[in-house]
Amino acid sequence: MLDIQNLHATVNDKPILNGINLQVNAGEVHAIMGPNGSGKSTTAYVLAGRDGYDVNQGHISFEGKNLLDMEPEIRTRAGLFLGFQYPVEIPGVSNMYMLKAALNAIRMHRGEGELDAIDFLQLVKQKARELNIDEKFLYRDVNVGFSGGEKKRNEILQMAMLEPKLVVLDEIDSGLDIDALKVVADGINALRSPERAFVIVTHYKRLLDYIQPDFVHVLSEGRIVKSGNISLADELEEQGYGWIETAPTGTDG
Amino acid sequence: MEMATQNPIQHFSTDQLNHLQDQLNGMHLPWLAERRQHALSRFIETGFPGRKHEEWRYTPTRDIEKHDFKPVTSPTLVDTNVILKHQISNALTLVFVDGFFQPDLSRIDTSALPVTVTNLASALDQFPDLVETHLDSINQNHHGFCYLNSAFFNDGLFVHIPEFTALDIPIHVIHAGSTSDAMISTRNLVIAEQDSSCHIIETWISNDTPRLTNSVTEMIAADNARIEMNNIQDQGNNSYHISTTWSQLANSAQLTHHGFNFGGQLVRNDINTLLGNNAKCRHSGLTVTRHNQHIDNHLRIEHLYPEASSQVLYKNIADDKSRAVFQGCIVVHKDAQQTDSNMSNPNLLLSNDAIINTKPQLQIDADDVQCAHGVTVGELEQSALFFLRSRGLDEHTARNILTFAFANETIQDITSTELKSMVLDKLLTHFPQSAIRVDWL
Repeated sequence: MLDIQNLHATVNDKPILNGINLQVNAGEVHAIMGPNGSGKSTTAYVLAGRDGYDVNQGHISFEGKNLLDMEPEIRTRAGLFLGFQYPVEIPGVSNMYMLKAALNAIRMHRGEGELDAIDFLQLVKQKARELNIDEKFLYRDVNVGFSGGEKKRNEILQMAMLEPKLVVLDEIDSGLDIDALKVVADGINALRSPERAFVIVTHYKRLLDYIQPDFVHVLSEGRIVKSGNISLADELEEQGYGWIETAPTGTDG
Repeated sequence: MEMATQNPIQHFSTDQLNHLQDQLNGMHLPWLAERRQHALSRFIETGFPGRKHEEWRYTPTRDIEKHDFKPVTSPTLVDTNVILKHQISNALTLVFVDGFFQPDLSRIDTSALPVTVTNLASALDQFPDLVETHLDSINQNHHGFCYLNSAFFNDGLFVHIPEFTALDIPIHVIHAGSTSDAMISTRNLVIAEQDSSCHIIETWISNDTPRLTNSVTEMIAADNARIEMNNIQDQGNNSYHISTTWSQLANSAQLTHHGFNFGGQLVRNDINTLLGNNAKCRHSGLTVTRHNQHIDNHLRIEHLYPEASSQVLYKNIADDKSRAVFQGCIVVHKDAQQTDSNMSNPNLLLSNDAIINTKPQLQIDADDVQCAHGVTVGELEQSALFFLRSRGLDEHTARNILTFAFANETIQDITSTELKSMVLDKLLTHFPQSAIRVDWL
């Protein structure tokens, strides 16, 4: 589904990614771990196409198409979803409006036509209920006055509504208490399917305990230096990242 | 003071001017005839304010002088469907075309109500003493446009709400017009007696012929009275609109004033509010400029007595090569202790060629006050744009939604659902782009 080859990227002319290789197949869940500044969030933003993240070498193909040729909205319509580490607040736009605009943009792209008001309401209320999100949050402005946990649950709600093929979550677990973490993890697990793949960027193992990823990769200085299964996350938890950074370049996932 | 190079009356002889004034409503009243003559001579002395006046330095009044605007003696009828489209259900409605009252298009049957809502010309006939007492009682005729209005106003709105009376249905004034090169002077007088309340909406529409509308409004709120005023200015793109509003709030009186400006080539709104003891005023406004429009809002709020509060929220959105100006001045006089004042002026620039001028001012002569003001000028936030695009929305729509979001706060302030949707429609028509789906809001 996703094939990243020798990806190099800079931010403000500073090299951040220095040759990432990663293949993700449908149905797989990949976790990317690594110390601060190793390029985890940059990888997520490059995948989503954010301005200011310049790819100067390498290729990314998504379902056989050149992802780097696509505008951010085209990537999303093609099935990519980025869950933000710091979801933005948009005063003046209700959550409901944003969700409706987003879902219908994607449905139009898929040739499905707009969802009518009643069906949309039913769908969004059902998804909110499943994620333990109070209905009143739907009518509030996007993320305005939401706690950290509420913002992250809101990201998961958007993911659930848009039904992407490839989900990229950038530190979705940061700032969550145990209860919120469980809700977010349950939301992710509920969407796991043989047709869908996940790339989950995280600092900590606790989210991975709930999710049990198929692969764990360690990012250091803009490269994947080690790949393995969930036991790699256990090792990192016990020993930190220090031993990784001195290790030679490992095999790619 | 320098004489304007050209103004709407320069081609007229004194006899012609006197003749024009003689045709105006209420000239049988000696006091009014005298005031008009005085105002005319003052205007001939001063002309229009220009760049040399600090308060007018951003307003290109010269553009008005390039036209040959003249007083008109009869209206050019307009498509009544356009007027009907702007009506608000259940409102007492007064329609003016080119400043002339249109009884056939109006709906002001107040026979079952203990209030007076009529056109000013009728009030001059029926209640000349009441009008004489209040007219110009707070209008300070502080610039040439006010003199010109005082010299030539023919009609407008007259409202009198007796004490302890709440008028629950709104009063809606629709000003329409289509006479080319017309100079239209309208005058409104609103008197709300003790413990009374009323809600007024004033809508300005026109076609694209060049015109000058020059309006003066006086609103007088006695103790505990409450007035809500909504101005919706959406005239054609060759309209020059000058509006001056004076409000005087007695003890514990309240004024809510919303100003929405979408249309017009050159628009200047002067809003002056005088606050009594414990009075409260809230002024909010939204201005959207495009092409080469110039819209200018000037607020001056005077805290004359203790414990009054004033809240100001004026937002500007400027696109293309347009310019929006905000000047807000809060004056706290020395007896006005415990004043509570907050003025906010957020501005959004949508183009590199658009201009925003903003000048918030505080003049404080009391020592125990709370006064805050804040101004921001910015573009759409990149992080929010990326967020929306990452949710599948194209850049055009994302910009549109964020611009709308910026404006929306001032519209949500409107209490009447019908008026809210009318203003929303206006906003969307004048929107920089056009992808907002109203049915989703």
